[in-house]
Amino acid sequence: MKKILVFIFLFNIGFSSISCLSAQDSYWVFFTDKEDVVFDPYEYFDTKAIERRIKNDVPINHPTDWPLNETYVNTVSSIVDSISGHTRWFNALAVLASEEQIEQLRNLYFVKQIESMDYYSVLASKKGCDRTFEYYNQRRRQLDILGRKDFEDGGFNGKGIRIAIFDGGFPGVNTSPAFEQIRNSNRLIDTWDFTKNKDFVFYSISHGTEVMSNIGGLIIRGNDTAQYGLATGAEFLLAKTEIKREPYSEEKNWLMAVEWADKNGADIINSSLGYTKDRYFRSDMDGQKSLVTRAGNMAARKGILVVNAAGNDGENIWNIIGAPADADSVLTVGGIDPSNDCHISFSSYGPTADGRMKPNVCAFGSTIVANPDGYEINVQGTSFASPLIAGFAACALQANPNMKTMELFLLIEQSGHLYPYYDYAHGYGIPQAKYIITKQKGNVQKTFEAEFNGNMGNENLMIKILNFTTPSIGESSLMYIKYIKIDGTIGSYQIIQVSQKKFAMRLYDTIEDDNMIKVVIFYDGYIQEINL
Amino acid sequence: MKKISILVIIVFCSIYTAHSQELLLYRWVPSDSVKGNWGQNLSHWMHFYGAFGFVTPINQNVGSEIYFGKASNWELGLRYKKRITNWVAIGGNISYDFFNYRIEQNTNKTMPDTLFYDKQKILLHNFSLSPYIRFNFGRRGNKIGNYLDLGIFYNIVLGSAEKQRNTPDGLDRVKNKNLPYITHDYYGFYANIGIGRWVIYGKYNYSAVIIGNPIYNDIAPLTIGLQIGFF
Repeated sequence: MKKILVFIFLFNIGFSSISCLSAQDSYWVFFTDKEDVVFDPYEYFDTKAIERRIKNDVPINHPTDWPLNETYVNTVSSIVDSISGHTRWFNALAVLASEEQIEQLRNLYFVKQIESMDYYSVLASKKGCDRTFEYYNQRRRQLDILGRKDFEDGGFNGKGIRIAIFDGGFPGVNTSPAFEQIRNSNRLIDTWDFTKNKDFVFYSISHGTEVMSNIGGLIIRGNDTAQYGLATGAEFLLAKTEIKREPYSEEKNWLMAVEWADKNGADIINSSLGYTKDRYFRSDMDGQKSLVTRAGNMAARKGILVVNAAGNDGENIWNIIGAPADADSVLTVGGIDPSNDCHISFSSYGPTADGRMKPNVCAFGSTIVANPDGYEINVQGTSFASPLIAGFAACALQANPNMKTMELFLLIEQSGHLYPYYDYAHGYGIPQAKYIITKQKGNVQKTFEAEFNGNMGNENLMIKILNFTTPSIGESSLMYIKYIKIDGTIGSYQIIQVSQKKFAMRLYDTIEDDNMIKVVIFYDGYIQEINL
Repeated sequence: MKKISILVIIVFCSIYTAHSQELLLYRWVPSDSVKGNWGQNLSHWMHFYGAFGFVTPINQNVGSEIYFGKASNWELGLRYKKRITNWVAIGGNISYDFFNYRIEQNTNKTMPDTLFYDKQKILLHNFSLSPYIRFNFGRRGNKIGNYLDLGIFYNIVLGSAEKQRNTPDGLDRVKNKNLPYITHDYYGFYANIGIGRWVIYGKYNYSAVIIGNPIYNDIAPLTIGLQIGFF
C-alpha cells in the first residue's frame, strides 16, 4: 500500500507540473459581427494606403478594415486576464485566459469561435557562413544577376515605394552608414515593436538590419559605393515581430503587423519567417490552414505584395516551405547558391501540400549584407534571398506604377530566367529586370537537341548542345530537366552542370514509372518537351 | 577479340559521357510527399534514447540502504510510439537497463552482509520491456510536444554482481558474480514527464529484486533521472 501511495504521489507531481504549464494560455477569440462600429477610412489609413486601394480596385471602406465592436471587446476584457492584441481583418481579439474563462467566453452570443494560440518557432534565421567568398564580387553579383544595371539605367531604385519589413530587430538602422541616405531623406516612415508595444525597434538581433540592407542598403565613402539591395530609394516601415534569432514567437505579431503595414500604406511586405512543425503538419501547408497564410492572402487582396522566404528546411525532415509561404498570393522566394546558381541545399522545397508550385522565384541564398556597424559580412538563409526580391519588386513597381499587385506578382514570375519552365526548387528562376522594363524576353533560339536512344528499359536521353563553348571558371551552364506525370505535376527534376557538347543521360529509372508522360528540358532559354 | 575490344571501348565511352556532367540536384516528388506515416506526431515514431538517474532513498528498507547520490541507473533503449489521437498515444520501449546500487555502510546493514567496506555495490544488468500510454498536452504540429507517459516495466536480469573494495580480510577488490539473492526478473511502474527530447523519469520496483534470504530487505525501489531522446 505504501508503495502505491508513493507512486501516486509521483504521478501527481507529474500531472500538476504539466497542468501548471498550461493553466493559462493565449487564444484568438473571433467575433460574429462588427455591428454599430464607426469607421472613417480617410482618418484611419495613410494616404498611400488609400492610393493603393484605388489602384488595385480594393474598396476603401470595407468591413474587414472596420474596428472591432467596443462592447464586445469590453465584455471579453472583463472576463479574461489580459488582451494582447487584435485583428480587424479576421475580427478577433488575442487574449490570455484560463480554461474556465474560455468556457465563459464560449457562452457569449457574439463569440463565433475560439482558437488556441501556442508559441511556434519561426525561420527568421540565418546560418553561419562556412565558406569564404570575395565579398566585393558577390555583393555585385547578388544584384547583377537580377539585372541591377537595367534598373539603374532606367532610373529605378524603388523611389516612392513603401516597404514594410517584419523581423526580429533592427539594431544600427538608426546609426549605420548603410542606411544614412534613408535617414537623411526621411524615408524611415514608421516603426513598431509588436513584442513590447513601443516604437523603438533599433535593438535586439541584427537579422532585420541585415535583411533591410539587402533591400536598400547603400554605403557611399568617397568614390566607393557599396550597394547591397536594389531599392535604395524606397521608403520603409519596420516592424519587430520576433523575439530572437531562432525565436519562439506568435502568429499574432505577424497578423497585427500586416494590418499595421496596410494602415500605413505599405506597397510591399518582406517577411523572412515561416511557421512549420511546431504547430503544423506538412499536410497543413495547403494555403488554407494557418491564420498567417490567410492573412498573407488577405494582404494581397488589399493590394500589398507579400514577399516571403521559402524557409531553411531543405535539409531537415520538414523539407518543404512553411506558412505563410504556402499562400498562393504570397511571392515565395527560394535560395540559390552563388557558387553555381543552383538551389542552395538548405532552401525549402515545394510544392505545397495541395500540389501548387512553390517557391515562385529565387535569388541568392548566401549574400553580402551590411551589419549594424556598417561592415560587410556574408550571411546565409532564404531570409536574405527574400529581401533581394522585395527590393527587386519595389523597382518593378516603380517601373510599372499603374500595375495592380497581382499583375506585378505575375510579371515578376514571368521575368524569371527559367519562365515558363519551373521546378519545385527554383520556381520560375531568377527574376530579370530587363523583362520587367521591356516585357520582352528576346528571341528564343534553339540551344540544344535532345532525343531518345536505346532499347526499351534502357533508354538514354541523347543531348547535343548547339554552339557549345566551355564555361569559364565561375560561369555556370545549367540544364534543367523535369519529368511530368499524367496529372500534370512534376514527378522528378534535376539540374546538371553541362560541360560537354554531347552527352547521354540514362532514364530507365524514370521511364519505369508509368505515371511519367513527358520530359521537359530547359537550357539557355530554350525549352524542349519529349513525350515518353 | 576485336569485337570484345570494341564493346569495351563503347561501354567505357558511354559511361564516361553519361557521368561526366555534374549532377547538381536531383529530386523525386512522390505524390504522397507531404503525408507519410512516420514522424514525431504522425502514426508511427521510433527513436533511441539514453537515460541517467539516481536510486533514491525514498521508501527504502533498513538493512539494505543505498548511498544516495552514488547509487545510479543507466539506460539505453529504443522507443516506439503509435499515435492514437493528438492527445493520446501508446508505445513501448526495449532497453538495456543498468543499476549500480551502492550500499550504505552503516550498523544497520544486513544485505548482503554485515561487514564494513570502503565501497560495496550491487550491479544489475537488465533487459527491459516497458509498454506505456502517453498523454500529450498543448497544441502542436508534427512535434513530440509535452507529455506524460505512464507505463509498466518488466526487467529480465541478465547478470548481477557484488563488488567490494578494501575488504576487512585485506583484499583490495572482490567481485562476486551471479548473486543467488537477486531475482531472475522483476517488474514495476514508471512515469516520464517529457518536453520534447528531454524527459524526467521515475521508476518504481513493485516486485522484489532481493530474494532468497529471509533476513535481506529489498533494495530501494525508486529511481529518478533524466532521459534524452535521440531524434
